[in-house]
Amino acid sequence: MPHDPADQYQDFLFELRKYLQQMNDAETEMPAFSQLPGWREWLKADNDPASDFTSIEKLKTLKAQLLDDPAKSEAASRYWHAFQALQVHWIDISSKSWDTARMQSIEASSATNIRQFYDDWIEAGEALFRERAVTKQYARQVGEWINAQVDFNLAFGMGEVPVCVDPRDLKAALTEAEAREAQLRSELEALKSRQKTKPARATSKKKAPSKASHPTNTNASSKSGTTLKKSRPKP
Amino acid sequence: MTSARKTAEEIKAFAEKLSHSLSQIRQIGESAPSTSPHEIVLTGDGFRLLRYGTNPAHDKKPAVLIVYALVNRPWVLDLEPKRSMIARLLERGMDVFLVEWLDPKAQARTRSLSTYITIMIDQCVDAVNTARRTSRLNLLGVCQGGTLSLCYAALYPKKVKNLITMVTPVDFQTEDNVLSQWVREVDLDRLVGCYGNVPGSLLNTLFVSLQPFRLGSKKYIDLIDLADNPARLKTFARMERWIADSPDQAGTAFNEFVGNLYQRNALIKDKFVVDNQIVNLSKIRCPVLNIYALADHIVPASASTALANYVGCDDYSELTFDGGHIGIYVSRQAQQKIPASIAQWILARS
Repeated sequence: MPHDPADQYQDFLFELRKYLQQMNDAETEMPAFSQLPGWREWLKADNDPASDFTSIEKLKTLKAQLLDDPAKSEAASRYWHAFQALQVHWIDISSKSWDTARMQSIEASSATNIRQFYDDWIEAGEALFRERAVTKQYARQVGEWINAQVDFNLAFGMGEVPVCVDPRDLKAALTEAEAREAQLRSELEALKSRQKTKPARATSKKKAPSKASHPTNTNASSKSGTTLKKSRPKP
Repeated sequence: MTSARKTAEEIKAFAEKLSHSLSQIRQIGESAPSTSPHEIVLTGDGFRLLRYGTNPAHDKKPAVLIVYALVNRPWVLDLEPKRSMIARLLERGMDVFLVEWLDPKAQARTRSLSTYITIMIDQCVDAVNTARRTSRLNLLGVCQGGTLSLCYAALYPKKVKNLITMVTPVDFQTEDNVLSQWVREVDLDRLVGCYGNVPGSLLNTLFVSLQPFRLGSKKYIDLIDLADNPARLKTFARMERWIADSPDQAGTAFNEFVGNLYQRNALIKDKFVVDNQIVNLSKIRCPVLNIYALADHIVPASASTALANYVGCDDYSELTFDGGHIGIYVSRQAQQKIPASIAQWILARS
């Protein structure tokens, strides 16, 4: 069987990738390299109990927690399914990218050295990934991966589960707010029209100040204005 | 020598070169950005306003207020003396100001986009105008900061003389926008409920995931080309530091930005509400220069060029850059082209 340099290149680059991955994960004395994309990155947020996954010792504790708590178990299961769904794509893309690089190396003789072979592999990988990344299936699975990660963290006590509001309640609150706004507007108009008559009354002698000209009403008008702004429903 | 042995030796030499360059970058360690001289003009809750340059006559030069994205640090615009968009703008006779966003504290999780736009940016605009005794200025919005600047210019048209947007998303749902498709079904309420302020590391991972082969592996191999070149290794180290240095995001503002824009594309549908007002891009009547990168993997060109269809000005221009989202800030080609074009465009309208 004739010698194929691509075999050796590929073996070496496999090892090199592992090394780079370890280098990124190890937080060595290197400058703050950006992390390679990987599931653990989603677990590294501050106060993230799920980061226990990265420690073998703590894995046992985690396992016990999962067994005792169906909600945690379900969240973990959902997360692993979501992750595995993406991993299927990554394995497929990785495999095809090596095939493409090897084909180019053998058939087109484009790779005359390891650097060229490596560049061919990167180009093939990015092209395959771009095609996959814009598919609805992949996008949906990325979304599910993120959602599952969030649920996992929530199940382990990180953060707060947002209160779900029934849309019917929201609609009722909106109707109420609109009615209140209309009422406040009409009150404001009434106050304004009363205030317009104030100078005329001020000129009349010995007339007791009416409620409309009392400073309290001016304040009421101002308060109404403030309330109006606050009560305006957000679209 | 057999072919197999020859290949093995080639690989060995390659590994040695790589090891050599990696060990050199280890020795360099963290490289701080080389910041151009500046003063702090204003400090507010969550931001600082910086003014660059030391020229006492800068009041007489056109003022440019740069609004950078919330999701990264603005010092990529001033990475080092030879790669500094800010330095190039100063050289071209601009009086450069920058809004520097400060990391949101835990209690800032409810800070909204309205606060960023109608309070923080507005305070900066007013401070610049006060310092220069003017009523209008040139606004330069970069990336997400461009979107914020568009909103500001639409809401406060009298305060903006000229508007420049750079790699700015406007139509968030063009077909080639991978990021948009990925986040379409993310449950943002739960995400923000979980994290409060959204960790920058999560966003960073997402950005790197857009080009996993190139960003996760190739650039480290390309280090071979930088071996024995300390200056370029330092540049590399600075860029790595910048890429990894993503600030956390105020939860509410993040929810609004991703939900209303990436998920619902509200800006171009006249449904984006800031401070109880609908942002209507057609209210932007000032001259607009829209700069975008042809190979941008984060904000595709199509997302930026959509702006032409929505602004209400007669004086609309575009400037293309043949490169990517990061290259437009720091590459040599960009350094030569972009700041000079911006300055020329502003001077022609001053």
